[in-house]
Amino acid sequence: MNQSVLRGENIISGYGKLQVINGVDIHVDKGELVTIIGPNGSGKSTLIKTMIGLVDLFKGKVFFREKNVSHMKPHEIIKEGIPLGYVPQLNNVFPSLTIEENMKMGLYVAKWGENYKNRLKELFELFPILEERFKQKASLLSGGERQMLALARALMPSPEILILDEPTAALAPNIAEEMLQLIVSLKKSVGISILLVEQRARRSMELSDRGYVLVTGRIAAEGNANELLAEDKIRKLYLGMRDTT
Amino acid sequence: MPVIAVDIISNLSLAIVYTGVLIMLTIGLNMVYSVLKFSNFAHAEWVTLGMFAAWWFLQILSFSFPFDSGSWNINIFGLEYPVDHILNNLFIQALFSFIAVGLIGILSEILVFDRLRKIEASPRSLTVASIGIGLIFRNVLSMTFGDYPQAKTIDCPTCVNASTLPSWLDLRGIPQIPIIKDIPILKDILSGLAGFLPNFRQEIYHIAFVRDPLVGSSLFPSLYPILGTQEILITGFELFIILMSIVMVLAVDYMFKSTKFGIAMRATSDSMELAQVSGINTKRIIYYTWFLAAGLTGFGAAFVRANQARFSTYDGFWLLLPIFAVVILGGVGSFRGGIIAAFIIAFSRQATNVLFSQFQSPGGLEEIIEKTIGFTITFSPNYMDGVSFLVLIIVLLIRPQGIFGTVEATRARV
Repeated sequence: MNQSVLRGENIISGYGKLQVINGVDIHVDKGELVTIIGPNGSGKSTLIKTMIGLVDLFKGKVFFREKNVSHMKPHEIIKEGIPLGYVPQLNNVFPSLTIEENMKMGLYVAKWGENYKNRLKELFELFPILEERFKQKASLLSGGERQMLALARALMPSPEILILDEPTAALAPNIAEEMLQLIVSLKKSVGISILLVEQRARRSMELSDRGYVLVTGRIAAEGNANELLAEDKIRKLYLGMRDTT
Repeated sequence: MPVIAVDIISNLSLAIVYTGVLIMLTIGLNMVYSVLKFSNFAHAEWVTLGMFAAWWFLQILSFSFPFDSGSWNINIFGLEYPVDHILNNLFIQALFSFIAVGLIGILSEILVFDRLRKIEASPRSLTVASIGIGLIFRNVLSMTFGDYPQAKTIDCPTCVNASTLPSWLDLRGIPQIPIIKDIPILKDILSGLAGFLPNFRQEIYHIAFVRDPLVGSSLFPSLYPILGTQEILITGFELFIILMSIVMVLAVDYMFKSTKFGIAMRATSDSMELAQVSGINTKRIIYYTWFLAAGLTGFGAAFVRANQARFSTYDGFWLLLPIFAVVILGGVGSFRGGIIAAFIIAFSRQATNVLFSQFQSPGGLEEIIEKTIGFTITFSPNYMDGVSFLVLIIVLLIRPQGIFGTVEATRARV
């Protein structure tokens, strides 16, 4: 059995007194690409935000490898040295910061010395556009370029797991496909585990190893991505596919 | 009768001093505006609190270590230093003011702003709350110290003018000893005080470029028939204000742009969520922002107070509008822009003062209009603040984001 990089047990969470996630068990194994799909308002973003400490965890436990990080704030998780990269759906870059400063924020808790320079070189090979526009403000980038910067920033600390919240939102279809391909290539080339929340449910499921279907804060279905894709009910209800052939 | 009847250089020096005051007192507001994204109207009271904190600390020091008492010396590298001379100086007062007002800034965050942020209050709600906080502090100060202005100085006949400089550079030790009045308990003790600041800061530096040869010597006496009197009279305090304002704004600008802490502040301002997952303790950054913003305001206010003959609980309030004007004109988040904006506001204000005074003089525009049209239009120099705001509006019509501001920053705050 693969060792889980990220594991949530019986997660119950929400905002203030409002409970959004109602007892979810989830795990991402090493080198896996796992997608969470579900209708709008099902709690996909809330679930991943709970796992990284951005949303209050009412009950349950969250582990990065074997380290219990339940109830820890995000900056405490990062300072613990847990290798985690997160790209939020909105505000995924710091617009008033330059690209250089955005990249530095990816290694905020570390010293910006040799390690930073080496990492920068590696990431420029993946995202050459960022090198060209290194001194420019992030606010001047296009949607696709912003996503690249967000990914690069999240990859700066060489994370073991990358958590992506709708990385293709507000992107043109061709750019969105490129972005998904880039995510898959990251998994293959770097061997990184990826937890993906996506609205392009069918396409992301096709590219994933496993998937979860979240409905009203509960897991409605889970399993191998191909098996989920083959299930009639899921195809109709959540993947927008009418034809079963 | 000289061709030019206005002492341009003197007015320029006054404008530069006012520029320094505005720069010093703007830094904190700009910082809160940039990082926390709301207009902090309590800033006016940080200014007043800074003045009173420095003044009150001065009294404690004066009481504990009377100046020139020679009661307590410390040995530094074999040299004897009188403790009262070291402690009783403006920087120590300003430092106390920095800490006191900085802590009050943090207190406001803990008691009010943090709670509002937790319930996701809008920036408008935070602004309204800041007005309330300001009113509370102003009234507490009024209740404690009274609403009347606190006097600072009286003349001292014993001070010595020890100028050895050329006659055109008239370094006059203006004989003044500040005495704190209106504090019944300490009044008797403090009125006997020999002085509390190094003397040079109380001196007035007089540089006579051109003046009537009959009055005294000057650098270019032959130009008097054309230029009239052109001289600078500036106090040591005013020179300090100019110097300190530039040092402070450049230091904060450097911190904001080039240090890890500054980048973390800007990142927190952009997105708290993203900053947190980058490893930034955003709560701590917000506390530091309040401490620095309020503290620097208090620090600057200590210098401004020292240069005023008297001060009251309304001093900060009267400065609030020009301070806001500087932040908006310079561009939100741009400390260097604030320097240019302060120059524009101060110079347009002083120019209006001079121009309108001329209009009111016999044979001036006011008289001409009255004779021509038949009714009076008053050009009072008191309108100088209004005209400087007119300049602000004109500049904003051309550059809505301010001189050095970015469009994004403006949009984010509208």
